[in-house]
Amino acid sequence: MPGFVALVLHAHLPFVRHPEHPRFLEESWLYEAITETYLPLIELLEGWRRDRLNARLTLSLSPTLCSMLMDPRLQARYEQRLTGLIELAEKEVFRTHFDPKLRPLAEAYRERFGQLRALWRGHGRDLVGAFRRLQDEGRVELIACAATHALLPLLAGSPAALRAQVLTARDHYRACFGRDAAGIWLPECAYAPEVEPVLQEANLRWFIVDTHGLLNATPRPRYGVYAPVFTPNGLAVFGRDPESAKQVWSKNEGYPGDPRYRDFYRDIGFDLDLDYVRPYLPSPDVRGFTGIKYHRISRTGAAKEVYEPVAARLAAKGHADHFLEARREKLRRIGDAIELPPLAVAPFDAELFGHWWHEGPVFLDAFVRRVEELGGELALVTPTDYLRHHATHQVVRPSPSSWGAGGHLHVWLDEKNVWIQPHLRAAEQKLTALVQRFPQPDEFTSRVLRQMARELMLAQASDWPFILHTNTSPGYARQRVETHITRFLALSGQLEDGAVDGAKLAELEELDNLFPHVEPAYWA
Amino acid sequence: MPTAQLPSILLEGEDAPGPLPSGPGQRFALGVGKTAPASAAPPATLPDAYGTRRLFVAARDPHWLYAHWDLSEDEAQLYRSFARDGHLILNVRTEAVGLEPLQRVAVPPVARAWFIHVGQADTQFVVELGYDDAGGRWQVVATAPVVKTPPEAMATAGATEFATIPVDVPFGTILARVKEIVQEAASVAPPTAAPTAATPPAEEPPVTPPVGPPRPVEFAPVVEVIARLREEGFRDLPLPAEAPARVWTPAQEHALAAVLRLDEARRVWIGSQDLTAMVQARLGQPGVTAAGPVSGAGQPSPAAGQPLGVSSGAAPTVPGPARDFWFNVNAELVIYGATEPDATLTVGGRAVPLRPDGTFSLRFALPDGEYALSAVAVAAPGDDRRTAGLEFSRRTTYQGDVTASPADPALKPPRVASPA
Repeated sequence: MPGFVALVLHAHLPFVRHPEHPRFLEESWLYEAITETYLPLIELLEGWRRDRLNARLTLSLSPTLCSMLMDPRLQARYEQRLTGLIELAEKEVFRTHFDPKLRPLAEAYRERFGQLRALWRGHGRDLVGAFRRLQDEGRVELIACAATHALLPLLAGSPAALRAQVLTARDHYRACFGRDAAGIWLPECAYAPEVEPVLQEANLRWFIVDTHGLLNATPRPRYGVYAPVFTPNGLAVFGRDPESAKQVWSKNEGYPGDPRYRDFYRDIGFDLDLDYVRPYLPSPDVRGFTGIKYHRISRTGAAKEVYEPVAARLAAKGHADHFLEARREKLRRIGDAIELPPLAVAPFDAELFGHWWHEGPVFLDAFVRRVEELGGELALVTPTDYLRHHATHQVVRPSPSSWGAGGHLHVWLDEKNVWIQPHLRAAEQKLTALVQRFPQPDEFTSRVLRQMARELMLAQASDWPFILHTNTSPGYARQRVETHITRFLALSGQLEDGAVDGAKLAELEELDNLFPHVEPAYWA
Repeated sequence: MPTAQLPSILLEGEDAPGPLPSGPGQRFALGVGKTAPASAAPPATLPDAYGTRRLFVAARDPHWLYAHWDLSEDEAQLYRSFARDGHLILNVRTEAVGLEPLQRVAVPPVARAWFIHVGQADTQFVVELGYDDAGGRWQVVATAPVVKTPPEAMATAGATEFATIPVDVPFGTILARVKEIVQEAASVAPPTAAPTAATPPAEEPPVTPPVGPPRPVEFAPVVEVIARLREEGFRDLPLPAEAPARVWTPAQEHALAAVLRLDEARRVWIGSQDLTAMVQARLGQPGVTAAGPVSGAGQPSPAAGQPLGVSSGAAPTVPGPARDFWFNVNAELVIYGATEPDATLTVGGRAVPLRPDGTFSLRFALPDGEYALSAVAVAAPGDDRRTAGLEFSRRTTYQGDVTASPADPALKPPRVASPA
């Protein structure tokens, strides 16, 4: 019996848009991911289309990410950034003239950035449109995600806020992709039974939980994570294949840490004379990543070895072969024991491929092409494809879980970030009360309620407590929560007093401009 | 409780630069420099409380609950004044209200949140905030909806039920039929006996939304409903697929058990934030320091006396062995000049774009060695040509530990002092 693999990539960034500053450090999260992940993903999908490969991929593009990708100001800033990168690469070609190891790398960067700019311009700067067309052609299945990536189990006690996160995301998906999504990526794979009613209401038919979310289900699922289950509410649930995860993330076996791969951290933005790199830094006067990196992963203290692209490509192809053989062997063993074709679901952060793991796209491409060469023994499907062909599954109640460290909510409820929660709960309650107080609001009141909804949802993003937990940019995360709650409270107070500052409202509408048609009634 | 603030100047220069990370990236990485630890205290600009009188409780994991309560300071003070012992208490029960509490946590006046170690997976808890009045009677201030800790182990293999639910038949279609069935059932049976659209799935704890009107669509046990629809011959549903065998043979059980070990699954509970730690571990770099005993929101440890087990996060850089002194030095070469703006310039055989005014500036890395470079400018008509042959030599001698790069990431750009 053939086996199936579902590769599911979750692309997400919080809403990071700062028109109030000419160059803003955290906006570089978006620009780096466009260059290193989103454009390469489009390139991969188009390559598979060109070569007529039946490579089905599942991709979630979070609503905040789509909002940024569609924003003309951010599009213009990205193009400026990419053009700067090409200029820097051209300078690097000269600078490395006397260094025969670095010079070919500089030339390769110049060529690569030029290709990416052509791809970017070829799609008219519209990556959401590019993914929509790829879905319309059947190359990729795009799934939904919560509006601002709120950790939904924490909203279990605020059902209106939970409902608003999902229905706003549904509406946004329709606006972006012209259809309804079949599946949803639960932010951080965080599941609790309370999320199910609104998924049902939005006709979202399936989601993914981490391995233990399914293995610890009641009763125990007969096929483990190798077949989906239904909850009593009829939602299909897929469990993460633990070995697929382990081979990428494991401390001992994980592929991305191979010393042949490019080092993420060693960037000329940190190495070279500040005056030289300053115009290309994400933020003036703060050393940061430019995107040009010449070294491979190596031991601390040891002299860094120069990156060798040919060796790295070979490593990625070898890892793809290894990944494939492991899936094949496991699915064959399981297929012998169960009555339906086994399925391994392998979900990853999309940004792993290309951005964090430079050779990730090569790995993906090699894996897909090797699957094709096998000729039917193994096939790539999306979870919806699988449900279409196999509609009968065991009924179980999955276990509350997440894919964060510890498997539950540790990451988002720790001593550094729990202060966020009381403010969110109070704001959720306040917005519901105001929406109920103005059941038929006039246009101005609607604008106020919509902006309050935006500010609340931006504060609810799981990214802020995550950043406070990992300490990558804690000052920024803290400031974002503080800013959105403060804006929310100001609007709330003004609305209650009947004294809304129209100019200030317009300013906030311009700053936090996502979800233009957000529906306040969802909070009722 | 406010913590003593040290003047930041006293902390400057204390930390030696740590080892630079190496490996694949991680989410939200912005660089390789040190990041100041986040403050655990809420921003001072936000209200201390909103006075909603709600108690929020979430099961953080199979063993810990997190609770926060929202009382204005005046309210909290009032309740404390009613309390026999002068403090509020979190009462944790495992069953319906009225049974003996599992735990009573006396919370200090400054606390607004608490982590509660319950140590029981897969268990429902009722948490109340209240106080013992002067007569010793328990008075409730707020009650949180029931929460359930997640299981931490595989369930026993129970009765196996299968359902066929075609993914392309909208839930709306199914749910519309549910309403009809509910209405039919209500007309022929006592209300309590009929399945209602608001019936939670079997054995699920009742979840009472604390606020808000009923949602337009409530929990619907679709699996049960579909079975009934089929029995009634509802035409829009495809025929049910043949369900897998009810009997699961020992041979199948054994074959699958070998590939479904939960222990294995547990070890991969790592996400993107652990990538750096993973590579550090592999490369033998100094690891991430685990968080020590901590308490929630600046509070003392819980009355249970156990430090809160908080997972360790992987920061991009971590303190490493101290370096007393360091020196990085490198040299580069700048070649600059000008010619007619419409001329063609090549340096080292490569075309060089000229600025609009005909000037150019090129920077070259200059490792130790001997180098030659020719610069050739050709006039636009092609009738004139000038060449410069440049030769360079670099020799570097070091004494002590001197490296070429990188610059220390902690360095800040020089500031030009503004005139007074």
